Amino acid sequence: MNSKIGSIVTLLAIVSFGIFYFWEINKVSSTSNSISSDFKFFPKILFFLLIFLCLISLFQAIKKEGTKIEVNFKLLAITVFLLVGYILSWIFTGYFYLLTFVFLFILFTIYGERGKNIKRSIVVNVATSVITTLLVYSLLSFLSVQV
Amino acid sequence: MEIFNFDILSLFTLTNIIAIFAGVFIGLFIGALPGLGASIAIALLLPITYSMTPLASILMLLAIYQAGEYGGSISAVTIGIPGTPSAVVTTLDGNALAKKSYPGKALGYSLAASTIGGLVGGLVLLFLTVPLGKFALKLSAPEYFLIGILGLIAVASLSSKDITKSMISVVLGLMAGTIGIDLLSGVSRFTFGRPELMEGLSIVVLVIGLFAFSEIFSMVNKNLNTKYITDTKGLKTKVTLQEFRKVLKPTFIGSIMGSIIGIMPGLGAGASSWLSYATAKRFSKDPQSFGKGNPEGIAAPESANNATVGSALVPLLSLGIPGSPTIAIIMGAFIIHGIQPGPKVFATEANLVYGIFYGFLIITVVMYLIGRLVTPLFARALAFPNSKITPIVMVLSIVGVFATHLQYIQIWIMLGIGVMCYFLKEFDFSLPSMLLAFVLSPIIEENLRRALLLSEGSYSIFFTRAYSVVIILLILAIVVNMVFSLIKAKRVQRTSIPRPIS
Repeated sequence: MNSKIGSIVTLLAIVSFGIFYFWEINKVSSTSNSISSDFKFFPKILFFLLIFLCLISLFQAIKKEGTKIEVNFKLLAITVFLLVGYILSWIFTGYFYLLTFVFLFILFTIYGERGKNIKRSIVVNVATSVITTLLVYSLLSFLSVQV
Repeated sequence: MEIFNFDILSLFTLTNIIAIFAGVFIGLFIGALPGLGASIAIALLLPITYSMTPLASILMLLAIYQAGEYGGSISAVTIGIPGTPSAVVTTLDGNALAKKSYPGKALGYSLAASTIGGLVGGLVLLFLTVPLGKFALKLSAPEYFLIGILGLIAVASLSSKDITKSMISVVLGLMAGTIGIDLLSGVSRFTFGRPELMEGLSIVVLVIGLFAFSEIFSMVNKNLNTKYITDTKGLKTKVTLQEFRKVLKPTFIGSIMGSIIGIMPGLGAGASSWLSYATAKRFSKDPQSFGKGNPEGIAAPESANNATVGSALVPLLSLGIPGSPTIAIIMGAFIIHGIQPGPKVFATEANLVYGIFYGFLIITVVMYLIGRLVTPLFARALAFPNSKITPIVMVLSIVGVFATHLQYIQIWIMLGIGVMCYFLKEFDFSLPSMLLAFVLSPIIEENLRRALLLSEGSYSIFFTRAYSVVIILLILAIVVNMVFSLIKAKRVQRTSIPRPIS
């Protein structure tokens, strides 16, 4: 990914967020004229400051030459997808510890080195997943949290 | 209660001792791992503090911070990769000395200097907090507002390569701080009708999303199977008294500079280690050998970053304003236990405050003892591949957030913050600035509005009070320094670009 394009896209996303922020605060009607009770006063300052700084930064980003940034989109997307799947299945099934073990095992396997002794790495990954799940269990028991 | 009336023996309860030792172990371990820093460890352990006493929980978090600063030098010395941002400067001479003699010698200098720095920071905390707290009672809304601004400008000027993006991060942090019920008008802002957001964005959720999850995604993006090969044979930390006498001057410089910089809201260990390194070099008899394995180049930054830990607590306890982003996370432990740090805390929670003062000194001594005995063990932490650490940190983060709130929505918020902040970090936005701004947002907004209420809407209240003027001058000094640094950097950049021969 090009750092210049990435910066511009991020800044535009921040500007959009700023506009949403401004729109959201203006939705609520204010009856007070006093600054101390005007809950919109500070957010409005922040909105204008954000837009001003983003414009400066956009100008700087356009002027600057971009460099290549290595982003492993595939692995990041898999990680986010697995995370979302893990949390959703926990919410809907409730089998927290079993899901934690499976989630950890899958991640250890995906993140691990390829071409190594497969049998050995499966044993290591299972053992690490079991130990981590037990650690989570003892942590939650210590905190008296029911999952 | 006065400082010297505190019963120190009351600190030696089993809970407090376990908390200190556990904190030191965790801090040394996490500090030694490149990429993970004390902030992440503190963020992950913040939810656990719910079930602990306030004193034990704060001592544990402080022990992680203090030991993490020394732990960062382990990987900096042995493999030349800093474990924490403040250990970057230690790499210069630490790694060179490790290659010249053996790593244990460099680590010995680092540990001894860290301990002296930590003790000096602890003494500053002990003797300066109470007078500053009394002085803070004389300050009013305009000064609190300006101190908040001072902290934000200081952190924004130092924590990123791109100052404009740092400033944007600050504004984003301030915006995040406006979520929830506005205390002065009672109106809900940006809650979207969700009762979970009425009290604002949870500090635990924000901190884990900001630091742990964004770092997890960074690790996933890099090579997850990097293995650092270390020779654990020459890691015994040993420095003779004679050897240490040679680095007394830079240790003293680092301790004093670290303590002063720690007190300034917003600046952290990173700034103090660089500044003290530069100062020690200026006062050294042999400045040419800096960067080539001079022990003075290890002692100055290491004493400075540990001195900063204690002194960064001074503005938190006396003014209610955290001295560094990591202290802002520790402030979360105070909030979790319903304690608001600030000048009034001396009256309401005297035992806790004095317990922190003396406990901090004990932490430093424990760090020295454990560091002396088991540094080689922590160097072995480098053998842990990120492919194993990343999923564990991921699960612990999720569990921590759930255990804190018992609400699934908080996990989604954390995940969203983590993904968003990963991209912000990739494009040079400053996450520490964002966190500090989030913590300072209610203080800044409330005091700005109170000040304008006092002056009936006139902004002259910020320029006509003596204390306010002093703070404004400090802000101006930082801004001027920032502008000069930018101009200087641009000049250097221009001269380094080769011009085509006509």
